[in-house]
Amino acid sequence: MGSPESPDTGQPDTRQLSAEIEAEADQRRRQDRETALLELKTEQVWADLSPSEHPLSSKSSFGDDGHLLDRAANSAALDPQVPIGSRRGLRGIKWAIRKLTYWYVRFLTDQFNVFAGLLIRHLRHLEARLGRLEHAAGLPIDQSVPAGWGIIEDPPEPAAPVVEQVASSAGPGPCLVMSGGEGALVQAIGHRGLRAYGTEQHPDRVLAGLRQRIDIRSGDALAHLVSSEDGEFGTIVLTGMVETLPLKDLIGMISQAGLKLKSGGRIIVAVADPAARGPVELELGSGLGISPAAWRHLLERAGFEARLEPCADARITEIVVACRPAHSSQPREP
Amino acid sequence: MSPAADKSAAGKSAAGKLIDILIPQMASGDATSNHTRLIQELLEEKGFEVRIVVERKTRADRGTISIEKWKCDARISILQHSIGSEVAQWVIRKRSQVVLNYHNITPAGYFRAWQPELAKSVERGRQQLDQLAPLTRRGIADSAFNARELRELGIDDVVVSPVLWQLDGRLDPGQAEISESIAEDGGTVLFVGRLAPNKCQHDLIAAFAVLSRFRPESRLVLVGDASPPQYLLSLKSLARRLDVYGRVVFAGKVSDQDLLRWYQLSDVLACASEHEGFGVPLVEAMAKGLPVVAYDAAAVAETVNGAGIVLRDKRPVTMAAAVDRVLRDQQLRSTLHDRGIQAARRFDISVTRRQMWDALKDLLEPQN
Repeated sequence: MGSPESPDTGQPDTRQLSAEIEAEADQRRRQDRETALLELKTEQVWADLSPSEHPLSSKSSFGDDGHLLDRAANSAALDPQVPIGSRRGLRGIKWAIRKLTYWYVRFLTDQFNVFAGLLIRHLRHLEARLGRLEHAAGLPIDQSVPAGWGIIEDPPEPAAPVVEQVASSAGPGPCLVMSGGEGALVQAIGHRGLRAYGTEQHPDRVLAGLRQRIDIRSGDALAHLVSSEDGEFGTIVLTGMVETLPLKDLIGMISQAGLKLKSGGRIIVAVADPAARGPVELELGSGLGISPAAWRHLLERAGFEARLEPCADARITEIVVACRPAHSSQPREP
Repeated sequence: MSPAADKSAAGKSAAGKLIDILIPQMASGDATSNHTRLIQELLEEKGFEVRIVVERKTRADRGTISIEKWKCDARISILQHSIGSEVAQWVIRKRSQVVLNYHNITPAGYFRAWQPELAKSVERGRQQLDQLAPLTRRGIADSAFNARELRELGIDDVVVSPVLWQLDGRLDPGQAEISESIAEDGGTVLFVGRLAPNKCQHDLIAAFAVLSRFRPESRLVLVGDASPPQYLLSLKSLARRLDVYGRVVFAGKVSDQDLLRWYQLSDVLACASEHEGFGVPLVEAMAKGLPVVAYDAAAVAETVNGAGIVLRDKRPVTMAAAVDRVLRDQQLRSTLHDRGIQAARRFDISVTRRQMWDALKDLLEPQN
């Protein structure tokens, strides 16, 4: 099998190859149901086996109890280290006393740590089980289905009128296009002389963008936004998969986007109205995505001056352009 | 000159040639201990007298002195810092200026649920790092990733100089061979490193379970000691529950010779680690011409430097697809083999020794 080659060297381009492999994996997930299920199973099995439901993350998706347990675990662990220095003279006797004390204290602390660890591990298991129970009982079907399961179709790439209108509405740079697909928006904004790049979770779309030498970075859009510097962007465009996210994520996204915008920056939202979905998608995707009018409302509550602009496209009929007044520095919670 | 003045001058001269290297403890097979020995050799060749100062002396610590006897009278003191330690505490207490050789500290969050006392120890290391920053004459970091951390702490004078290490034959490209053909349903996947939550061997086992669907005769070899031990137990349970236990080899801590053999017997090195301040096994694998598939975290991409496949997504299917791709594409393997050997030359002992000397020499020159 051939590998993608760098045009400069004729050698395989490992970055492009990585994107290609990620796309291949995504295809396997979609085409081979058993492989996709096995992947889910591996996550579930590990969640059962590891002492914490989210051992590698400081955040718990089940509320604040995880933090409490982390703190409990932290303060329950005793450190048996004792000072080892001393003055001359009684050094030998002190050394022996310290050594004996250390052995004894070490024995006690080890016992205590094992006991505390055991208790906390069981509490974590209990907390995880309760969390799952609460989720299973209280959530509609769309939110209990794992992300990427694809029960509703992914939004298509933005059509030419949308691209044109969003690019013309872009304010100061640099510009971040969240869920930028194959990069048509990034390219159009770039042609206007603004520095722009996009994020996209679908590896095949990232690959398509990279092939056209468009700056599309793979990964979760919200995670990328969170890790950006405060005040880094002049314009943030929300589009693509944003229209299939639950309200909680969208509010988090607005709040984060507000932090990452420069003074006088703007947010442009180019999404289809969920009410315009077909009957099947409407039912399966209930609770996912909000209308442009609701976006405007949330953005205004977050301190932006927002307006709706009509767009000559069959799917995306209105675009929300929200500007932050130059004097306003701190965003409000939407 | 009077005898007293002679003695004083001799004392000053001896102190001028004396260098202390402070390290919590010297242990065989430990990368930081090997690194320390090699710095000692380097500096002794340059005519300096080097003392290794440890927290607690063990039988392996011949030729070292205990921190209790440390008088901070050397020309410079080099502190090896990677975890909370009493030697670092001693430096802080004495307000002694040091050259900080930083090997990074794994975030405590990885250990909190597994081994709270270890989490506390690494947290202590972080706190000590904050206190060491104003006492640091120069920071020496294994990688640009580590250097960034030091600069963020306000240490301006930071030099990147990789870990020094040399094990017989490991960096000898002459021995490297590319496996010409790998059975369609087989292949040996290797990972070398402590079995620890931040190294994410559980992700490798999950990826291996997926790989086994299309390569039922493949094998996963995990070389390294368990720390914490509970993690190893959980890994074994995971392998059992994913029906791959029989094909996951938990090799444990191995001798250098056995390690070399594992590198030779394997077809690809896979790394899902989320925190690597440098990544010695990545370089060793590349030096042996073993293709590398790794998750892009911390200093991994910098160490691999385009000579392996670096993934931004390490979900099991993605890791498995990458490993499968390497195993079935002979041309790709051959390219990664050549590039790996080339990339590993940057870390050859002759190069890294020179870098370390460059990092230290102006501090050791007479006018300083």
